[in-house]
Amino acid sequence: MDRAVNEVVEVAGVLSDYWPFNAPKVPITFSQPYDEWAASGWQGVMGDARLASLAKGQRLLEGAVAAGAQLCRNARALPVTLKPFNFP
Amino acid sequence: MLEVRLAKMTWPEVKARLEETDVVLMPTGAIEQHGPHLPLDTDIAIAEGLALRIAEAVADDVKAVVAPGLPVGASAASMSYPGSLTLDEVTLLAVWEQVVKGLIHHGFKKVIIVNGHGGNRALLSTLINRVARETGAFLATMMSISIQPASGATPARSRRRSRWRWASARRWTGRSTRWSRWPAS
Repeated sequence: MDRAVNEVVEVAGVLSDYWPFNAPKVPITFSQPYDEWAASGWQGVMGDARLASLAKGQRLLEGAVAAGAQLCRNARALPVTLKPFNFP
Repeated sequence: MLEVRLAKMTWPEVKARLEETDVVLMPTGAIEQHGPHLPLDTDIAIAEGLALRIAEAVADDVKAVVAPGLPVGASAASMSYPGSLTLDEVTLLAVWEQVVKGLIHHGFKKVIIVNGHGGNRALLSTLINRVARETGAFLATMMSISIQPASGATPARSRRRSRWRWASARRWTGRSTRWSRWPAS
């Protein structure tokens, strides 16, 4: 899956908490202005509240990346000594 | 640009990277219905996309590696939808455990599981606590909306600092961030 498609799926997936399962697949990209998307007629299906959730979803995704990055840095700094374990 | 995908690296490249980092991100997800408008791989696509973005965000300092995504998860509830796939809990836990232990075996002592499927959460919680207890490695699992560390490898003296840092992470997500209770020392 190329990156552009991946981003579409990410946005849609992150929004799955707000997104009704019976909604049609919406070709959203990060670069598409909110107003343009709203004017495309989807508001009739989704409603203004769910359109607003697009911006919320983008913030959520950015927040998840920032939180994950911090988690990586925290983990990197932790002193860890492995115990002997059976593998494979 | 730094290669972050484990599967795209050669073994000498992985060996060299292990001199610089011990952090690996492992995506997990599901192959299941997501309504009539989204593909079956939505959850693993999100997890892989998120893991890659995180790895790219820390490419200059942590240099974390992204393990291959494990696409099939716990999706028994979706099996009435054509194309959905699932593994039973015992098999799924065993597969994850073998892969995670393999990563630890090679020297990735900090394993962060980036999960894209809510149905995997309970099993992943079992996994990270079990493997952390057995190996001493640090493990955590996160979704786009939550972070859960296993604290088996977290020394008591750094626990308070880590708590504060994870609390900071909660502010970035803009939603409630959930993690397990820290076990008693």
